Amino acid sequence: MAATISAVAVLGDDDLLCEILLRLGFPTTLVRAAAVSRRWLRIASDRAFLRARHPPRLLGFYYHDYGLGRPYFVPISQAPELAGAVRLASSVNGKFIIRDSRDGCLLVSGFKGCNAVLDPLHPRRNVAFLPQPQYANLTAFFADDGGAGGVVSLSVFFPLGKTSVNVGIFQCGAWTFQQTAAIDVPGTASVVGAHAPVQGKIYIMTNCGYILQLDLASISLSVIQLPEEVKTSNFKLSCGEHDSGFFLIQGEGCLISIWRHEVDGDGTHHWAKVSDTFCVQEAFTRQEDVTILEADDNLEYVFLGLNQSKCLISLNLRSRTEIVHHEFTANFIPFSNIKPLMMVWPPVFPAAKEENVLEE
Amino acid sequence: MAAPESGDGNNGAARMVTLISSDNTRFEVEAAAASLSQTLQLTILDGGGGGGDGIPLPNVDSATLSKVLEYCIKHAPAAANGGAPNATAVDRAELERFDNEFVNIDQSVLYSLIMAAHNLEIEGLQSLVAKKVADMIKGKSPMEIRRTLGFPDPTPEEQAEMNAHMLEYGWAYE
Repeated sequence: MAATISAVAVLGDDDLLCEILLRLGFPTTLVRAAAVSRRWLRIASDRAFLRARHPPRLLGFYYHDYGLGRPYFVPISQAPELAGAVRLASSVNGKFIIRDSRDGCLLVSGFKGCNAVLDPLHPRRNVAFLPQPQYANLTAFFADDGGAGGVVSLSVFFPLGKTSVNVGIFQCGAWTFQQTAAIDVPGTASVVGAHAPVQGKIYIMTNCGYILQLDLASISLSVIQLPEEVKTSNFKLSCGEHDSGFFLIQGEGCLISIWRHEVDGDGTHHWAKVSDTFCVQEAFTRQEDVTILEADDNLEYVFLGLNQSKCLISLNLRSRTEIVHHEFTANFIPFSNIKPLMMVWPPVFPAAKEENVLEE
Repeated sequence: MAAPESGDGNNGAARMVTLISSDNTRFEVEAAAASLSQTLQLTILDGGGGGGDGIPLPNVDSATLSKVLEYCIKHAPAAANGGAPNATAVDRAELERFDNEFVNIDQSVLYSLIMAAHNLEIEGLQSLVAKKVADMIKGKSPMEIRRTLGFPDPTPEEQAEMNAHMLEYGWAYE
């Protein structure tokens, strides 16, 4: 029959099948399609294809402050397709501190007294425990290794006008430690945060008008001055994976400004302001100042706290819509820990066994 | 996009080309419409398809070709405007309505269209039909997808793999 031949010809052609799978839109649908046959699974697992067309989606964020004792999940996505994922993310239970969140997984400390990796969306997978590093390092992140399970941790030192970082790397079941050479810095600062590794670099934020760029390949440091207008440490960074540049989101009073960091051909750093400074309506209405608590890495959402009323706001930077999370009142805004949870993307399928495809 | 000598010429007659389906039916269409196909556009720019010659399309039967040309004729004016930046909202809504109606067809015709759009490299049509198949898959379980697309029943081994997958990715099945 002509009809059957056509169906086989279309669905049996990788390019044509790819065109169809690309248009499924939601990760949930793609995950279901991947179960149809081994060949479909192989095409759905192709990372290049997935990255190109399906941007990760923000499910929500984990909120934790030192009064609460445990993290709570605050959903943002309203998509019915993601309701199952949101429910699983919300059912994470226990007292621990989330250090980092990447591709749907959480790097936590204090989980049954240990460092561990949790996978809230796949409760059937075992919790991976990490051995305690010899040095009690300040921060820890998932390594930028495409999901291979590596972890990076840091301790930053400021000996007399200089700085140096101790870098711990956990891979293949063991920690190794290296110390960067000390470099001169404009002033002795304290660290106010760091951004998880992107393209082999970690950005360490200080309260002294500069950022430290740590290159993980060469274990070396360099100083990036902040834009002149950024005079406080009320900012966070957003680093996309596809671009070498990164963004700085600054809060001042009830205003938000966004800067893009660029490096010229000759290696000079400069900052360009992205769009106009704008006002957070809720903060303006209440006559309050905002604290920038966290930003996602798509430059899509930034999470804010209002200093006096202690309420949390998710601000969509593209539509400038604000979600006020009335259900939470923070104990103390500056100590609030927010970690966005992105949809697992691309979905990690078990190694596909390719055999003769039955429909062909 | 259209060949320079096509379009509404001074004498009011657009340049026509002839396409010949695999079952030897001849279709006469405006060059501008046929040029939506990247494959045909090259031949037409070279001056092919005019007069009594015609361009043979051995991979496309007449039923499919007439459907393809229906799409091309409808979309040619907008394509000639370079993706229709100055099209009115009414025009765009009309094209959207046409597209929705156009893919409301039997699966067998849909598959023939996918093949034809792919062979003839008609970007808009490729996208439209792939989207339609994707819409048929959305919201269905793996088993329903197999049935919808006419796959044979899974072997016990495949069924076991499917079940394991559903347990593993519970979040995708609510």
